[in-house]
Amino acid sequence: MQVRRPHRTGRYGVTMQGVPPLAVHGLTRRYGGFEALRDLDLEVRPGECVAIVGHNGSGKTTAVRTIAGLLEPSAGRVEVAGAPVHAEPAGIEARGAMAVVPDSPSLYPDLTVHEHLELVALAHGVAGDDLDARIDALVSTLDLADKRDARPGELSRGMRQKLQLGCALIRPHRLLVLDEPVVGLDPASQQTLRGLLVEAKRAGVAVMLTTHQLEFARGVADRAVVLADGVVVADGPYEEVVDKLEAP
Amino acid sequence: MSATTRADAHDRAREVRRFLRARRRRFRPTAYQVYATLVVGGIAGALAGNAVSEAIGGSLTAHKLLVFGPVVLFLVLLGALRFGTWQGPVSFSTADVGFLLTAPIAIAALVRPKLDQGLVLGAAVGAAVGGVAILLVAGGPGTLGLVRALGAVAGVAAFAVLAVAASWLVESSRGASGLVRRASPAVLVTGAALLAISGSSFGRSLGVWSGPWGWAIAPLAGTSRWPVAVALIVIAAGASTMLALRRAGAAGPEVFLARAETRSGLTASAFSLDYRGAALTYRSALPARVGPRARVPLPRAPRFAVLWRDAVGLLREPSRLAWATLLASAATVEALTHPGSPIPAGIAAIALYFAAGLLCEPLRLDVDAPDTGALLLSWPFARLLLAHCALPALALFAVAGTAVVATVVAGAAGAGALALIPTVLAPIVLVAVLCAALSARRGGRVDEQLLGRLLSLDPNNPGGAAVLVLWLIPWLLATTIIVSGAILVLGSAVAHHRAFVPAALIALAVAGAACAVLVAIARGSTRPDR
Repeated sequence: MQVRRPHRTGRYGVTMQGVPPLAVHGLTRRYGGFEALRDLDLEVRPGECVAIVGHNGSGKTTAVRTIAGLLEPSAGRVEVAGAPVHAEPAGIEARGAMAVVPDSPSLYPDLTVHEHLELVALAHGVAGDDLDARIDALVSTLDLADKRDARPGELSRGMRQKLQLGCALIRPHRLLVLDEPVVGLDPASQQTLRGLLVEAKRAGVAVMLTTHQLEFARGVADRAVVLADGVVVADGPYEEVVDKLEAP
Repeated sequence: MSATTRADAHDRAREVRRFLRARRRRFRPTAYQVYATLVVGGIAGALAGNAVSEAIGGSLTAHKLLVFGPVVLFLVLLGALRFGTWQGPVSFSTADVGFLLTAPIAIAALVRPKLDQGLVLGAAVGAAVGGVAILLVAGGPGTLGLVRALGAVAGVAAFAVLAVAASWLVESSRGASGLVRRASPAVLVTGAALLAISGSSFGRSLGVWSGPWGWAIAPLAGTSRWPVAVALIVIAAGASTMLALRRAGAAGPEVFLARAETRSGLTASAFSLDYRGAALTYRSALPARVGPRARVPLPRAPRFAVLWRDAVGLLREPSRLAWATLLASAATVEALTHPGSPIPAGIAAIALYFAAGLLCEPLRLDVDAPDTGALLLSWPFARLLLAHCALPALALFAVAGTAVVATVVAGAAGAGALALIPTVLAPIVLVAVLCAALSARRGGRVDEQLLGRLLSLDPNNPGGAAVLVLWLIPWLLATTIIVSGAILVLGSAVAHHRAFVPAALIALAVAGAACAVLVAIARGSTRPDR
């Protein structure tokens, strides 16, 4: 398969003309006989933020996990920056262009905040001489500066969530995927996150997030995709779709 | 993808491993932990050694190795394959999955070191077991001769490598995983058949030459063409290792994420002494069944609702019936072929209890979600509990009765055994089912009060452990005492050629009285508070 090599640029890393950061075609995922996600088609353009909304069990997390490559699709395909996610070795390219923030933080209990960020930079091949400075700037933005040498056991849930976010931001990416990012975050941290997402969009990063807190995504998300029982039931401008959802 | 990027991905894997090795705080046991492990290991080893020695009737000899060795290794291989269906030799933590398997690193480059480690560890453990076996069977390598001793060590080591490689092949393939799960009961029956014929010279020969489980022990057992067997096992181990290494990149993050989440769930359940939670976690790790779902026509009378629900549950999960059939048949055959022996009677009782436990799963589901059960069916809990016993009791009675007939037809028991079917078989089966149901009633979790009391006990006081064991297995103990007691009474009459009718009456009275007491206890049960 022919995959165009991205070239690095700016804080968020990679750009590639003409290829959408995320293209999902006919994505279906079944658990045994249960169809959690059916025939999802989705494209997210550079600088666009798409919010996937829906009730518990509507298929949001399945969609995110399958797009992130953590679940195999039962049918359909996912391409990140033109590279198929569910194929080796082409998936390596896709994983390099995507940053994922899972819904529940999974961290190494014996590594510090700083070491987590170092590890991600190393794993993504971006651990240059300025790494310490970049980490310092990021932990300050995330209000984790005084927890630089703390281990996950010493962090609150919100702080762990912020560390996961930091791990996503320290590496270059064309696509940022966040699963329920506001869970566990206080209002001030939610505001910081909103600012970071707006900044990422301005830099041309495509953002996909799932949430059931519709207010959080106002002003950030451009488009809303509503899932119900694994099927897309509405897709359109965020304000328009959400206003309809909230209408009595 | 370019070759340079692929090389980068492998280089990054190496750098990440080096980083983690340097930064991570390794677990260093204290001197006390080493001492305690050695003491506990020594005691457990001695107990296991005694149990093995008793099971094979004395010390290990070349003849006994020929009889039992292939079956034991057959079961070890099956265990390794089953392990691959839900864990396997290659595992990552949830953090590894989130940080490394989602990074632009070749998955094969992350899997290979773990797989290599597993294969080397397997070879080392196999060689050590081979060495111990040489000491046990021949008293040392001198008796066997150096070449044969080396062949013996190489055979067992190669078998262990084969088991690790096969386990990875199952772990990395969804198809192989499903096949192993479906075929396991039939494979166990094959193992039992191998054991049943191992007494004859044809059976022993078949055991040695039927596969890797036999080839591995050929030099130890002194089979004449042992070099051929060693060559075969080494070739098999080499081929499976090559295939396993070639498939290093075959498993995606989903495989490792599911296994990591299962491990976390099991650890959490173990810490909170929640064995029901552990069982549910294990079951959720197994691949879900795909295909049409069996349907049972709805009963007209509401009193058959629970029977209908249990029948649907059994048809939707036929593996439970398969395992229960296997356990109950084995229990019956074990009891009939070793009349008057306490250990086989105890084993039979335990197997029957676990068979009943498997069939009582719908009751457990009702206990897991008592509100749902109460909403769908407004019966008093005691009635619900007893109703859930009907199908398991009928199924186990049918299986055990068939096993009695088959054992008599095969000539392994006298025709008099047929008299058990209309007399004591039903109450014996009912005791096991009622005990399993009463155990299921508690939902498999240590209640907070008991947990608090256990935690406040002096760690040096063995009473705490005894309380915990008694809490965990009172109904298993009750089944073992009642059922094995009844079996022993009947078996002793047969073994010592005493009158059978009085023995049958005593067994009937014991099992019948126990049933009455157990039903009374069940009638007093109330809906669990969750």
